[in-house]
Amino acid sequence: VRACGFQGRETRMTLEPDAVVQVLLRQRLRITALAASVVRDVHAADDLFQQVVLAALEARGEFHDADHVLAWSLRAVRHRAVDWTRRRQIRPLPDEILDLLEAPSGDPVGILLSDRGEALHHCLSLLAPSARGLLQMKYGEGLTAPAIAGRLKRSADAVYQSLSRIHRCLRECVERQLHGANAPVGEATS
Amino acid sequence: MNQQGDSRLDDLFIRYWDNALAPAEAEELARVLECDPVARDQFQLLSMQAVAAAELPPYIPPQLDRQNLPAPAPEEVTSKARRGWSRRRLLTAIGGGLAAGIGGILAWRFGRGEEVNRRVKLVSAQGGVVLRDAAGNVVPTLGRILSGTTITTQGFSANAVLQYRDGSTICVLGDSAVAVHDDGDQIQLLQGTATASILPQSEPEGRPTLASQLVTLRKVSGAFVTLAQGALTAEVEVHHGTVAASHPSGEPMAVVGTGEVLTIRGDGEHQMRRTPPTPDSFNWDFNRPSPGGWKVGSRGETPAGPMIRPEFWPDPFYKGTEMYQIRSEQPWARGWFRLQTESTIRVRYRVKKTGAGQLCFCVRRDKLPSSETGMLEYNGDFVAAEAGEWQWLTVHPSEMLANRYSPRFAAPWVAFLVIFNTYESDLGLEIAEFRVTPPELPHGADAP
Repeated sequence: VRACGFQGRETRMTLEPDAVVQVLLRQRLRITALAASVVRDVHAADDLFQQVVLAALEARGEFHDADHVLAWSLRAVRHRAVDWTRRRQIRPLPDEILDLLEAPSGDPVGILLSDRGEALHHCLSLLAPSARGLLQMKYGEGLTAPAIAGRLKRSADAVYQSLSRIHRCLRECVERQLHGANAPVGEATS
Repeated sequence: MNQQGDSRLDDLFIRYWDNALAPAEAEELARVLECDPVARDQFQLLSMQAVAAAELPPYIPPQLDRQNLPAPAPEEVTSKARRGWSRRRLLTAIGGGLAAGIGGILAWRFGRGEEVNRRVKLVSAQGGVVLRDAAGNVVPTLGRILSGTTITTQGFSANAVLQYRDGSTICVLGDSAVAVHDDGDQIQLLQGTATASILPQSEPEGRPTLASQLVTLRKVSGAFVTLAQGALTAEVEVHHGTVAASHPSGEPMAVVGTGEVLTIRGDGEHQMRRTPPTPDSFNWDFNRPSPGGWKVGSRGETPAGPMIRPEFWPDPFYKGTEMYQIRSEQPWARGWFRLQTESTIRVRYRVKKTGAGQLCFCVRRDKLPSSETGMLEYNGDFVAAEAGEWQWLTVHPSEMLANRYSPRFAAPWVAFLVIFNTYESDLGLEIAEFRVTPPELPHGADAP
């Protein structure tokens, strides 16, 4: 952080580019997840995140601290995500809900999200290969549940149920991780 | 929200993602998100799960093979279908939790008119990870993996994972650096440690070459290997498979198989042996003129024998603040010793003045491959005794878990870094003995 301003006057701290980058690196999962929840396309959300990072670097002189960077980035990626859905005539979530999803970075939910991100990756590694594969087809390849069903020779309802079960198992595993237990994910198979 | 409500939100989320919500279901989702903060929290977590899951390797169902994998009908694939390697991608990373609070990002992006690495991508980064292009400039933000890019990891728990299209991975560990050349065909370990898990490659051109200053592993295929490059030596440890090691000149050196480790000295002399198992008992031998294993710390002599003193050293975990520390080398793969929760650690020490200090172990999972690490910390006072008498510190790993970076995996743990730290105070610390014994051995028994 570099102080600027005249001695004796109130100084305004600005963040170095590396500091801005590191804030965004730390919060990458959260920012991208917000975009993904709007556009429902992880790869598009990734692109939006990249755009936000570049914009943040251009605007780095305006940031006071890390919280400011995060709040600005969440708002910026939200706007870009909503624009993305409108160009594709996809109905986004209502603005009042997006306002609520943009929780301030300093609140307990924000803290928990960063810890949960780390636990989440661990829990993903504990999933059965078929369960991981189902998630990858859904969110990595962007296949709909019916498309996955066709590939796996199953019904779409069965795929929906499997995905729901996997999400629940991941959530439970993350909670166990956060509370210190080290139990396996469970029977999260497809 | 109760469990039934949780499951309902999961269902709604999945269908929302498919744009498959009926109008009533869309209203239900909006209502729940607007009124229930717990539901909003869950919705955010589901989105995070989706983002993290998108980076998982491609999956081929067992009843199908690559040749017969059916392509989904065009009408079933939405516009968000996975883009091929010709599109830019952003790969995620877990936010840092074990290092100095700096998360990592995976990025792989094609630039306009620039040479890019299409074959290998950076898929995970934890802790301090820095990318530099061939000119030495820091690659900002998400970083493009251009040919000639150097990836540097800083900190004992830092790591970066490179992944090939077929899922083969190279993990850069701790304080290390690698350079990527020729679209990932050449991986140069500049310093530190890297593990490579290379799936069997039917075509020779699919087999990467791994190299350090002292050794080259050409056309690696079907092997899980650790390559380490230190100041004076290099090591190749094969956990599974076989690799052919050669001198940088190309002259063949040795074929290293499963359970073998090849050590190469700076003059090219090499030795191969069976990989010694990580011991459960450990006793640091301070009688050796240059005791192996101390990266930071100076050896001294007392009337009672040798000892190790701290050095004033910039600790990257504390942002380069200089502290009085003794630090071991970091044999990540083999580790120094294996710990159970009730192993016993005994340290004979003395200080000239009482002061705060800590004894830390950086540990990894017992079973490889895994890049997970954690920290065991004893935080207390080093107590000065009258007449400079030696004191004993006895502690168990179960008493070293009360810290933010404690391992999130169960024991046994493999300790690969030992740190004595008295922070910015010179207490005059001297360490004369350091022993680890497993739970079943009394502390007086000699360690091998």
